[in-house]
Amino acid sequence: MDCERCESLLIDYVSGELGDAETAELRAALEVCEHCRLTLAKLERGRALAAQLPTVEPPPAILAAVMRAAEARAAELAREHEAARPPERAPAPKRAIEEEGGPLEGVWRWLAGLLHGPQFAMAALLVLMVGVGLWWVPALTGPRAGPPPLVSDTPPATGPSASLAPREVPRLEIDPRTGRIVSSEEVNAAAEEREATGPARPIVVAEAEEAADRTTDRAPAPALLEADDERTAEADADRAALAAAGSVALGAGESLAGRAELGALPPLPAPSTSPATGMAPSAPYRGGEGSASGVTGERVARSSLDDLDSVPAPSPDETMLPASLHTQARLLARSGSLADAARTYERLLSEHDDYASAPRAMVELADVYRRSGSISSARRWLERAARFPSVASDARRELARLDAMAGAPALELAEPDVAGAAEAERATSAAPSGE
Amino acid sequence: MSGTEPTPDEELLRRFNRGDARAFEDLMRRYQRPIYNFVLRSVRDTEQAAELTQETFLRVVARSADFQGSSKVSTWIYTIARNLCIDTSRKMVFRRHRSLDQPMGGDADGGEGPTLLDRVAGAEHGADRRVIGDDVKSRIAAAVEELPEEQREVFLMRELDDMPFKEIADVVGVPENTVKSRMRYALERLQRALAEYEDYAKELG
Repeated sequence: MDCERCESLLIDYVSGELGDAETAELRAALEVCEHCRLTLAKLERGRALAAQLPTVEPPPAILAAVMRAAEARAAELAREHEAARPPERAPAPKRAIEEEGGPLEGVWRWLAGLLHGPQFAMAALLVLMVGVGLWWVPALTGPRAGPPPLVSDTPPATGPSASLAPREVPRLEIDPRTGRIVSSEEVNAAAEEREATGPARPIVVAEAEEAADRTTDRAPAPALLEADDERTAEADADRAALAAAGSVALGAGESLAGRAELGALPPLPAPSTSPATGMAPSAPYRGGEGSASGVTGERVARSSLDDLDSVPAPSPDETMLPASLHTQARLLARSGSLADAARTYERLLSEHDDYASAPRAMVELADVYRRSGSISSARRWLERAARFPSVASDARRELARLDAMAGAPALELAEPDVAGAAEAERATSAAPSGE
Repeated sequence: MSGTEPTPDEELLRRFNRGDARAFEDLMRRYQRPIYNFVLRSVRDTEQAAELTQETFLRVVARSADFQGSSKVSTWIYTIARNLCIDTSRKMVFRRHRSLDQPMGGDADGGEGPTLLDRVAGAEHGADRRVIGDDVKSRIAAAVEELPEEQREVFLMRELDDMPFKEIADVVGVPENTVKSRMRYALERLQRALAEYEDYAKELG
């Protein structure tokens, strides 16, 4: 059992809700894993402390106030309940009265009783509805006396209204020169024009300019990129790979996404071997710090723009939400809304514990707390972040900075945690060595 | 002779909907303390906690006939309380209100009177440990109040009312595993915050 699975069972274990089979499995894992034993010890101590949480008796005025409303409401509900019950049948009137008149007297009396009852009202309503319906339906389906509806003679192939359906679906293509989606006619026209005017100026220069323009248009705010170490590292990896393959070097700020087709471009390096990060996916964060899959969704090695359809769209629920939260938290922090930023970071880290950039988010959250004066909270998050090798150096540096500010001696980070986290990262990237 | 099983919440609500006010009183007595403490640890203000608790149950009174039974009554009540807390916290500036650990006002000497937590019931320790015990409780309460909101609400529902994780997930609207993760983080954070009282906690355990 790996540590991730073990930790997922620990909370049930300390709560006494783990089944026998899983308990046996967990105990076997605890015997060989010191990190999990330490975690269990922390949880058990936490539970012991939680049991001592003091509770306060609510003011008696609350109950009194609510019960006044409840009694009034109860009376109302009782009336509604009584009214909803079917009325009891009144005892049949004595027949002596009927005997005074003739046989028709009884019939009239019966009719009179009926007219006063709710049954008559319901029956009258029903008759009215049926009558209106019988009159209305023929009026709807009868011959029209107005202009004909705007419907074409031929049934539409698709869509709700034939008048909106185009007569002819334009054929679209991707212009190989510009990478834009244009109609086939424009592509053919451009090709004919080129043939007529002679060889074009070097494609490399034109496309490099266009790519730079597109990248500028599409690039996010520079402020975000400047602080985004992951994207910079990934961009560096991209450029390095292209330079090694002998292709045209990308300019600063350019990305593969903006490139037009120059022919077969070399595929991107696999995320696990990225020279800029060198990190394999780590437990419990499956995406791995610095991995190409994560914040920006999957990067696909595209050798041709014809593969656009194969680019998987990230599931908004799974990938975009943590990234959106992260972006939102950063924006809030930059705008000075530290409280909201802290809450957003906390939410991100609580709800998306498999988010690839969670360790980076921890460091950023610690900075938010530091700026808001919550040094202890800042320290806690840095200590947590220091468990992950990808941000460990940053976290330690910030901790040293906090210590220098406070004048306190430097903290000794728990070595087993760091070693355990690194070990977990290696275990998930390499073949499992087993224990 | 063992006591009879308590009347289920759903039955109490049904009786109330037929006009039995005492049934609602039974229901409210069952939940008013955990709900009050849940709200209190969230908003960290006694007056506001009383107001929100009252509002919670008034809404239960007003909407009891609309309760369809698709969830448990306890889930419904906690959902109302939680939503009220969220609405309130959105209106509040990010600041600490008067801590429950601060001495109560009204002392001419400048506030050396008992704290709110000094009035908690159930102190069963010996006199020689009373001071340490109260101090630990105060620290525990403060640490709980400092938990991130998402962890704190899970922690409180679990510890105040022993609510199953599945039911907490229904209240909060996240998967059960996420609830368990938040609980784990909360316990770890609590343990770290109270590390200096580890020995005392071991004695308790």
